[in-house]
Amino acid sequence: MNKSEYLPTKSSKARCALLITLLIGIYIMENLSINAMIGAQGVNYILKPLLWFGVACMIWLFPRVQGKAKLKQLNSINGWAFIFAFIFIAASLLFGIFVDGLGKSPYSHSITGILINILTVGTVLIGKEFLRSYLVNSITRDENYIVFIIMAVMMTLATISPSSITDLKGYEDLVKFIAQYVAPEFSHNLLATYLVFLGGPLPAIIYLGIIQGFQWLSPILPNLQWITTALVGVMCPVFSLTAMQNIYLSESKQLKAKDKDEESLLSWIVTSLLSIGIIWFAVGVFPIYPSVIATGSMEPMIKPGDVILVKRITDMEGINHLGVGDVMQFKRGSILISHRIIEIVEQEDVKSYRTQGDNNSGADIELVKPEDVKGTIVYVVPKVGWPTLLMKSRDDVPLNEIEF
Amino acid sequence: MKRTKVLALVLVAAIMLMGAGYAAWTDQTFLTTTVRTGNFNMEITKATTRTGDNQTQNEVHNWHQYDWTHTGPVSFTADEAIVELKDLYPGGIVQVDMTTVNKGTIPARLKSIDVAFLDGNGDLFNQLQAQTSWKADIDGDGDQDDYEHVEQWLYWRGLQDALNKVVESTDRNNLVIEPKGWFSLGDGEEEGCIQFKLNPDAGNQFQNQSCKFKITFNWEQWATNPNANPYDGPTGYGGNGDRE
Repeated sequence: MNKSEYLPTKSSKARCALLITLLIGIYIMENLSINAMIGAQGVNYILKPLLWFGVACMIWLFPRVQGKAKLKQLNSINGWAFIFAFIFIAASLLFGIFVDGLGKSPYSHSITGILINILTVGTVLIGKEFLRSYLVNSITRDENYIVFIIMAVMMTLATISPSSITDLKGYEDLVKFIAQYVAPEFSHNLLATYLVFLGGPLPAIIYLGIIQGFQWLSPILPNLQWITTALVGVMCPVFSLTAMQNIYLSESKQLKAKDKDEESLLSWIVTSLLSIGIIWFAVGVFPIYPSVIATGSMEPMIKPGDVILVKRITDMEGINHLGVGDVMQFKRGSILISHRIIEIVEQEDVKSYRTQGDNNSGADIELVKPEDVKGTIVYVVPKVGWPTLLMKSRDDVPLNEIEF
Repeated sequence: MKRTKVLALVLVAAIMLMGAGYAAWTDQTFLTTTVRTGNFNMEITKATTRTGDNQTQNEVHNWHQYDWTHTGPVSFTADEAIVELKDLYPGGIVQVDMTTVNKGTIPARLKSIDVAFLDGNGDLFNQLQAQTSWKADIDGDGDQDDYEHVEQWLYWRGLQDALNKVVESTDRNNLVIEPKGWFSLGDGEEEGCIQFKLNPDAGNQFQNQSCKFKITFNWEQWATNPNANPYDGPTGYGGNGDRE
């Protein structure tokens, strides 16, 4: 069979251009003047579903473009799409239950509300996945990651309104926005793109449909912090993508012997998660973080070179629990000091702490304000901080500020 | 296969970096917060009744008519107002104005309002209906920031039901009163009050009767962001759908 038969024909190129124009057109319509003319409700509930339904019908009428996988593999791909969606929801719920908490869904759960949501979200989803499938499978017949990434970026951008970007103030907002919305959306889109590449629109509709269904219909949703949203929203789809690729290549017997000898997928996932865990622990994402002690002011409890584990205090409850005798870490200028509380002083409703190192003859000169408190010491790991101390010894630590 | 792993590694590295940002910023957030020993104190500072000159005026009264001339005292403590209504006739309205000020240092959120019969004609108490609207200074700058007519125009409810609706309304608006801010069920010349009406079908046997009841405001400390929900963001995973 001639390879050129697989290349895009002139008419399919024209259809792709039409679909991209439609995608851009609908995006502009959603975000520009039509919204003001007929109201956001009219656009979201009537015009947008109608347009996307129209797109799906139009693609249905186009000459059929098949996914890469063979017919006998389709059931397996659909099944895996279901499992991946389930894993994402389970991971979000687990983080919600055990780490960040759960919250009440902001979406309507009346029968009319549910029907409206299914209709509006469902038609948009079906239209988008038909479009994605047609574009990807018309443009490439091989695993072309540049096409996948461009497609995922395009579909991600289509969900972000310009105002949400212009509203961002500073780097912090930008990083949070990328972490909470852009990166997870891109990862879901990347997996959905790979799914349409293999099995056409259906596996992607199953995957995104279940995730969106959970989001819109469940009365309780995980109330995740932005960093957890980023972790779950990026890692689950990315691991699912690698797993899907592994499964497809194994089933279609395309895995070469040398690939099979490579480390297993599971160990790769575990290594990635462990690396993230270690880095996050070191930089202080978790409620308990490590800190190296440089001086002997708290001897014999803490010696120079020991690593202390500090339980972070972030709220008034933690501050109120501090008592005389607790060893706490606090900020003084640019350095961190760990000393024992010897007295709680209250002046004009403002609480502050008098501290002293166990090995020091007198109390610290300045009182510690609650806003300078970092946390309490919960455990001391002897000597493991020596390498850090040796590396840091060249730095200019203002030793005169440290009360030995 | 390798390309996927490279892509995944890039994303893993990005997640690690985001962690560093998270650690730095959560630290800052706490450091910039001024911490004081908290003092929670929501206090009723004013409570009065207002009625019109005559029966007609009282019956046609609406939210935007401020010319009621007769004011009367309502006794109150920090969180309770004791209201005594007398000389009511079926369909007649009495407006009670009440203002609660956050005199503490901790933001407060309305948890519930309870009403309990104290003295007088119990049947008259049961025939009372109420309609409410509230207004509030949220940020403590002295100016009104928010208001809502809980019930509109002709709709009247039983007392406890009407007060529960006030709480639901403030809850729905995520109303949090910062220190020095105020919450008012009526005050001065703007809308925002609680109006009591004797059921127009009550019959004339309640004329010249009185009843006394207390309204208790229960406030709670506000600690976390009530709006926090990561799914309530600018993208979501699809259309905008219908919200409650």
